Amino acid sequence: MLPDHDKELVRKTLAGDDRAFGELVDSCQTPLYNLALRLLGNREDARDALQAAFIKAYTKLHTYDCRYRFFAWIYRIVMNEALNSLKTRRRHEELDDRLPDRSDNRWSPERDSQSRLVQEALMRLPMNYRQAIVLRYWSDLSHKEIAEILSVPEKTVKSRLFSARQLLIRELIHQGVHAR
Amino acid sequence: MSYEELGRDISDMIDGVATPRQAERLQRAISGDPEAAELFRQMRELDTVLRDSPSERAPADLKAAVLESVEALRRPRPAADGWFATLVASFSRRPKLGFACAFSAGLGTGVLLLVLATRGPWPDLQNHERTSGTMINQPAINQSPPGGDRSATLNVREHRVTLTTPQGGAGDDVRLEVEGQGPIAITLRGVAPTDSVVRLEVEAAGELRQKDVEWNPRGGN
Repeated sequence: MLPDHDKELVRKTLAGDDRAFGELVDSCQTPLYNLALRLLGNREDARDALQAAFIKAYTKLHTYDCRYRFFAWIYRIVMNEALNSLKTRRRHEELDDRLPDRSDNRWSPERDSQSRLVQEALMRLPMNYRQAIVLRYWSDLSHKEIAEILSVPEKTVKSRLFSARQLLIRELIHQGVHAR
Repeated sequence: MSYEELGRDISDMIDGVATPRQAERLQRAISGDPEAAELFRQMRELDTVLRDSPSERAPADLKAAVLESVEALRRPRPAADGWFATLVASFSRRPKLGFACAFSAGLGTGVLLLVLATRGPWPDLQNHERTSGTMINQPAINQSPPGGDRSATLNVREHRVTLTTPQGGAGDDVRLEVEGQGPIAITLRGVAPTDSVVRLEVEAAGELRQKDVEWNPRGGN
């Protein structure tokens, strides 16, 4: 989406036009959903985190600074919601560790074992590496855009991507996952 | 070429942002170093694996759910959703606070009911003609400075209760001392019309005794 079009939609939403906000949701929901899904590894949590993020974005829209890109602003909100969701889930899992295994709720695309292996390897990455990889591959963002969202220098993004890739090589390529 | 530089050049090459100089340097590195060549091959393979990993569409009902929530936010809240609903919601998020408040409310209600059941109407604190108080099994109450010399003592079963009125200016205070074990009820009452007599009533195990004692509520002799 063009940055100026984003800003126009933001302006209309602030003026009370909810359809404009619907257009904003339409334009970015799929990449944002994939971001949440890959960070959380669970469809239900990803949906909840994204819904909460959109509502937060709506209520905080007046704080958005039009000098910056809208997508960077909303990506950060989604990422924060996803991180909050992970923290909450960890607390619940600590409480529920005596209950039956909940792994059947996790995202495991049975029909594609390679996708499952990729997701499992992603979930074992440290969060800052996982964020960089997800933003690069499932949001298709450049180093510069990732740096803007994560509020780090581009050099740090490159370094995190390289380190994350090294870990993933160990987790995937060395374990027999190959390009088809 | 350091390992860090090699890593940066490989990352830039894979992400399509390598400069011609970086590309040339990387080419030289992988042609002269089998380990660098293997790392580059593995990085490219991983890149392909990750790119082949499919994206998913957002849930079909997500947008409608978001817009519905947004619409609800814009709607004015009904009166029933006021402070009480907010309080209940905050208790559901913080159960310990909820339990603490429920306990305090219960304790407060219990104390109030006990006071009403044992004392009757509230005393008129401005006019001591009708002032009365009841204590249950309090070991000692001392509301006045020492030095009172007008006193009455009542012995009821195993209890000994002494009432002393102040002499010379302690306002309307009296001193009560209780000795003994077990439940006991004590009532103090200003007796009209003299306004200078305190009636002490002590009840223990169904037995009631009473005694009047002079006092000086204005603090003189």
